Amino acid sequence: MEALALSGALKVLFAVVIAGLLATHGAVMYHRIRLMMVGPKENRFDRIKDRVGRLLQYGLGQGRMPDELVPGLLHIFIFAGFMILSVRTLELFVMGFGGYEASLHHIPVVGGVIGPVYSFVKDIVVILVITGCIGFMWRRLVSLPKRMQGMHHWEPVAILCWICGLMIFDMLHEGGYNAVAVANGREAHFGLGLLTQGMFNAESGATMWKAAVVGHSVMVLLFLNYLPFGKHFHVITALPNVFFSRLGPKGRIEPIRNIEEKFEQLETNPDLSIGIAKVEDVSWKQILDVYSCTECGRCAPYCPAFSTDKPLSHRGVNKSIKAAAYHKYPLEMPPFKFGQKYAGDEELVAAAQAKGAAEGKDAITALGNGMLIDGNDGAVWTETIWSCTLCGDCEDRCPVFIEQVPRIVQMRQYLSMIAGDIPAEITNYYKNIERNSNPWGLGPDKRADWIAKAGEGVKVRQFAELSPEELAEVEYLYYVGCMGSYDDRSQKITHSVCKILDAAGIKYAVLGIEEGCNGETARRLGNEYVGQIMAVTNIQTFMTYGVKKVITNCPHCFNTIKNEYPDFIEDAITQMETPEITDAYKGSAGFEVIHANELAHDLLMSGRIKLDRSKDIGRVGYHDPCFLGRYNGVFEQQRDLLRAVGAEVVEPSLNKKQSYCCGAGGGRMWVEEHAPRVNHTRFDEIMESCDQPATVGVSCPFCLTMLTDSSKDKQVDDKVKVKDVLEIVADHLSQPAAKVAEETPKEEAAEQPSA
Amino acid sequence: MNIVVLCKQVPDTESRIKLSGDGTDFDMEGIKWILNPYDEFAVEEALVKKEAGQAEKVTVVGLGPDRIVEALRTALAMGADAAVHVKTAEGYIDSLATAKDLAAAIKELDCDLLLAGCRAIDDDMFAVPSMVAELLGVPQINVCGKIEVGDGKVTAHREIEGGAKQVMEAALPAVVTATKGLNEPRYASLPGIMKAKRKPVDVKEAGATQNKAKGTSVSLPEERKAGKVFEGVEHVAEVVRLLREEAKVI
Repeated sequence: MEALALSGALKVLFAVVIAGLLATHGAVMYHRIRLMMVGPKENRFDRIKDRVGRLLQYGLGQGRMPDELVPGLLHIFIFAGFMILSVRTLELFVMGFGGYEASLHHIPVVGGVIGPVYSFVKDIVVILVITGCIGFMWRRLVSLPKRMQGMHHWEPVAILCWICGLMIFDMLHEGGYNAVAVANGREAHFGLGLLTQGMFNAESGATMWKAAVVGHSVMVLLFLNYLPFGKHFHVITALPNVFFSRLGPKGRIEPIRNIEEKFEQLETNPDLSIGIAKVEDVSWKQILDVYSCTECGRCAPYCPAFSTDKPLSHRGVNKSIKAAAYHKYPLEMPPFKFGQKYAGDEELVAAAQAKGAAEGKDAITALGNGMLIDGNDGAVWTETIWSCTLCGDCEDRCPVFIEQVPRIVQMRQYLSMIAGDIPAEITNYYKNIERNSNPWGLGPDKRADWIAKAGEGVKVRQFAELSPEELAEVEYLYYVGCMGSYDDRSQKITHSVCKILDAAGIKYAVLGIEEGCNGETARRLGNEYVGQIMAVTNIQTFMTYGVKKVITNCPHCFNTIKNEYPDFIEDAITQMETPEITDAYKGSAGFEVIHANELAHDLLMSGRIKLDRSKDIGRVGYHDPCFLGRYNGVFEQQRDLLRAVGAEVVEPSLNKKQSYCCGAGGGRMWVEEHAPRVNHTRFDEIMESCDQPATVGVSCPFCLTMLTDSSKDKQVDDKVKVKDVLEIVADHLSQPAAKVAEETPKEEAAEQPSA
Repeated sequence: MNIVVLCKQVPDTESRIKLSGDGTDFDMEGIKWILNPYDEFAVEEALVKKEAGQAEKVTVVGLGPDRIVEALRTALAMGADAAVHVKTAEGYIDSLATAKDLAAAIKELDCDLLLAGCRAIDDDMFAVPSMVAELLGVPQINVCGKIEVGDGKVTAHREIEGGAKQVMEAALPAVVTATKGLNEPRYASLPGIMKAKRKPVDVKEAGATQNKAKGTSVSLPEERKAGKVFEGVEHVAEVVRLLREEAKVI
């Protein structure tokens, strides 16, 4: 039999080439890992069990890939190839030194089974990988779906060809083996080798076998060497990125601790920074994020900003941060320690600038000064940063869990609090909430004016007016929010909530003029300082009245009080210095927050409210608000409520988790928008996919405003009514039943422990 | 060049105004105080001039009780370098008395250009900056939408009745007052707010100037009556009659 092994000299050469290629890859990876250590530390080593679970489900399990079925499957084919064929790759390396005798087929005892089985499985995978590659090339070069447009294609196509080359090499390798085996009267491997063995005789088969062992291995290592330079770096970084992804409530923005102290120290400590302004402010996980972006563009088509021609592409932000980081810290950079910064290193800056100029990278010459953000000269434009509605759709669609929302907020923190580079409308917004604790700057003493407008029979109690006995009876705080308090249209939702609560005999009270803005928008616009003051002030008011449970109907209030207020309870306690009030809240995990939809649903289920089905309201197209749906997973309650009043719920094509933002999130409500407008786009989409429903149902005062405006702009407001689900519920409260409900549950309510 | 800016603290426009018990003045209890928005334009303009290298120092001067330091700190947080607080007791001080005390304080400063808001949104007297200019014996240009300085003079652009434009010039030192449209006042950055805490506020006691004018009574406008809603075409005649006879608009 022809020797299926490399000669001695060839083995030495093989070893040298492998060692060389591994060394160059190691050097590049060393740089890439060091780059991750320039920025602030961040602990992502907690909750290992949850992380392993996520890795299994979304990393190895490719959990988000099938969200887009065809490309998802194609990717799963190639991913499966990488996983299963890695064994083959190792086998080829080993055979390079040990010859065919070192193959899986010759493992003592089990080789006789494992060898053929693996060979067969591997060959199936090879076919899948080739299918995947051809499919992807088709998408890149022929079908060109929207998210692939405007991208460069030479790199991905070259990589796909390279992968196909590896597969073909493997088939030839098997063919070569089979030719040798058959010539020697041994059994051929069952698999793809059967197709190629006819190309070879015993001698050329052996040569092919050797060439494939060396060639395949070298190709794999060249591929590995290429990865850190292109978007295919994700092959290495995606699984770690999924493992280290953010856990905990999705809607929570990490607070800046000891913010005042930090500002005091900013002048004297140049290493300290607030938000993200330069490469050194980007944490290691955020660098890993940009390494992991494959520029697949799943974040783009349903992004409210990108899809309406605003200058924001999260894929683009990834590329910009990466470009800035590589530019500032080129491969030949000197060694540095964890957390060490180079902002003041003139020589390095000059070198980086010269390098950028030499490469003709005018667009990023500003990066030489280390600024990631610098008007339109920085890597990420300020207009880009302000364009985001923080709807979170991109994060939910990203297969590798890149964290777009927090870094947008952090860049805004720099713009809002340090640079003062703020659009005029937002400056105005800040002044208004600082002075009067509401977005319009209306008088705080007018905050309770909605109560007088509630109409006959709606009795609203304010905490400040309650006697201690009455206070003891109150179970819930109804936190109304700015929209519900001041905005004429949104007040109707507030009134509806009161009617529903009354009908069920719920013991609740409101804060009236003692209520303040919850701080959500300020924090999401990057004004962490003011946002925290608002949060702490509200928490202190809550504590004064012994509040434990909170009802909200605004999803923004809901998300903030539920997911973010726990972060500020301790600050509120420390600043209050009234242990008789605050002791009860020591170590508290926050308030029990319930959205009015959830509560109304509970009340309906338990029979404490009855709904009248006799009025025909027809078809209702329901729009999921981001902060109730995607961020907090409340999907079904409002749909059930609509069905309970006899409505036919029709779903827009973008619904539930994949709902499309109304355009008001992340503070965009208060900023002038240019056409095409997000709310118009959404309204059209609902009208079309729900086939012109008579009513559009929402569960958020912001969505209500945005979609109502759209219906007016399109002059269809006489045909299509935009209503909050709670308004519809209140309109259908069945009066006699409510009376019964009022009598019976009162006793129940009395039995419940009061707040 | 040194710029001095007059800063007045005024009630927030959204504060609900109440009358004092004797009806001669407003009740200032529970009022939210802010820096007069027109003075904010003046502060911003001074800072723009400084940032453009046309001024070395920006000092803000305010008159009133201790609470007005908050307004001065707002200006310092925006970027002014120093503040002078001319301290008075709480209570009404007429324009001339105010101007005299301010002029005395400004004389001690090295001032090339005095900026101020053209009006204060609380009493709308349009008086103090002009009086200060007279007391200092320097030229004044009021209600300006664009201000340029150079070669020892100030050039100010004003828009007058009907959109006509006027350009005026005066030798420095001079008093120039700002109106809406001059600039977009900045939002004080947090480092600015922190720095403002450490910036000097020079306190001076106000002189014994007496008021020559005093308030005798104040009153609030009548509350607006609720609107009437008519539904259906049959009411057209009635609505026309009411618009003519009651509302007297047609």
